[in-house]
Amino acid sequence: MATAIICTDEFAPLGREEARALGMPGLPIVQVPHPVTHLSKDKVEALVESVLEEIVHAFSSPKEELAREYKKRDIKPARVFKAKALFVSAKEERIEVVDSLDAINNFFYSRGWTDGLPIVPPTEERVARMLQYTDRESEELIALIPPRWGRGTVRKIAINAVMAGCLPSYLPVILAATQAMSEERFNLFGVQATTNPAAPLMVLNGPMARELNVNSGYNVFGQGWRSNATMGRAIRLILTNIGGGTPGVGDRSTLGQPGKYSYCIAENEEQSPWDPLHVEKGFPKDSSTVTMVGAAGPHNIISSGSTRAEEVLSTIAGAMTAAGNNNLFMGPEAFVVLSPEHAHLMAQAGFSKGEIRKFIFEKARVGEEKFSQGNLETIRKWRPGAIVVEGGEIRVLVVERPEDIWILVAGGAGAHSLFTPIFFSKMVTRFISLKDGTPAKSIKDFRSAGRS
Amino acid sequence: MSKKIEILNPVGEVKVKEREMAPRPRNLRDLNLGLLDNSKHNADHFLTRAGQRLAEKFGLGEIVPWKKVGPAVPVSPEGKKELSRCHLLLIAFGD
Repeated sequence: MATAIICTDEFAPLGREEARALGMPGLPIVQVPHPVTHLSKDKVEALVESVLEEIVHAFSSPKEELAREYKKRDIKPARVFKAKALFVSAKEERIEVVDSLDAINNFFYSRGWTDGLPIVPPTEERVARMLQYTDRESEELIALIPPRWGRGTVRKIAINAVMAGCLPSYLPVILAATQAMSEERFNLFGVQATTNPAAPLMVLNGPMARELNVNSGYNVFGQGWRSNATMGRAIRLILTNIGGGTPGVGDRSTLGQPGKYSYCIAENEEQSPWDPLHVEKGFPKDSSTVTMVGAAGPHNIISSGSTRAEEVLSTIAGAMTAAGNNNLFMGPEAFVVLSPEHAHLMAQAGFSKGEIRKFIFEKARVGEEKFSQGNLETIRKWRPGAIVVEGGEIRVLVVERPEDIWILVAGGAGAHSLFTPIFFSKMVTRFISLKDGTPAKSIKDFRSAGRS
Repeated sequence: MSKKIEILNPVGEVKVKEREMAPRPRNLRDLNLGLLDNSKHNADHFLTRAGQRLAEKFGLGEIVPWKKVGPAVPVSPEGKKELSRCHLLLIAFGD
């Protein structure tokens, strides 16, 4: 059907890239000044009048003429922002650069191929060493990565993993993580292109997390461990270089968040009094898995002075009701990380994970007085099931069901927990497996299965 | 002359099969217009008003509004089915 897109000018570069990726670079994009969301009804109607003729033109002029016209149109947002070089052709498989770390990094940075930090130059030799840890062919397609729908082949993923500083033994995790992100319920397009600060959060479970020395203890969401830092970074470089998630173009995040550099942890299974995340999701305890979900930044929760589990849980539920957090508007799942100390306090009081979920679910609801009318209308549109009436009063649920709260144990000593709002994304957990789907028992399985 | 090194391109290839746009009608009279709302605030006002004005000018057929359940999620299969009976589609994109 004849289609025209009304697009605010700030989003037009994303619209144009989407149209290109879908094979229709000349699809009519009728630009209007950004933003429309804050306009009064009168101003919206005036805006319609201002572009009505162009809409008619987009619907009724010959398609060849439209394609030529809109392909040539210079799409620039009204405001200046710092945008890197756009999607340079991938046809140059090999690039010659002056052989110095400075020159290579300047080259990559100027092309928009980095996260702003220096990269490890992806030479043929380094990529070949990386590829020794997979039994897949290098040209095998793992996923098309939106919003540009670039081909995430094993080789391209390996190149970005080298750049991130990954050890070759991390490649199977990166491949499994990329597969997980490409599942529909993860909603990778949304996570990439949103104005919200969504980043893929990676959680590792099982023996391979320990083999690869993925931190699950002190400073688990912070710096210091090569595996955490570089695997999370590889994901970001994949999303940028293969998926086109360039800030201000394919990546529309208004503010971003530090997790967009790297957001990778392991669960502290040794110190957890309950089944770990992957077992709850139906995977064998001795299997190694990667879980991915689109998440906002972590929100620390302290409950100093609390000595009872119920007190801490009440504080956690309270933190999850903070005004403006992504879960209230979007959901659908929530993610709570308990420190070992908090976990043991709760377990000793007889709380199972199910009971924790139920407790939080009952408490984590927000009265309508905390919202504007516009907020409530938006929540009604986006999460109609989250609005309930209790005792004659309207309340908004942080999650619609207790089982939508995922709980894991991580961190070192200290009475802290945290809540990470999720953004229009559902957790996806996958085995770290060989090509035929056999769950790997050890990272050594890949080395022996890979090409020598 | 500085020594050179070969490095590999990290950019994913996009294999695009260029497609033709749908042909445009000569006359908009009696055609069904779909209005795809990305559920951002004011998208509904904009699209409804645009639909009204186009109907006034051209005597359209049916106006078929569809609102996505959220701004960052794809159109549902039900939405695609509903909109498939339209000849024209106006989509709200962005903020």
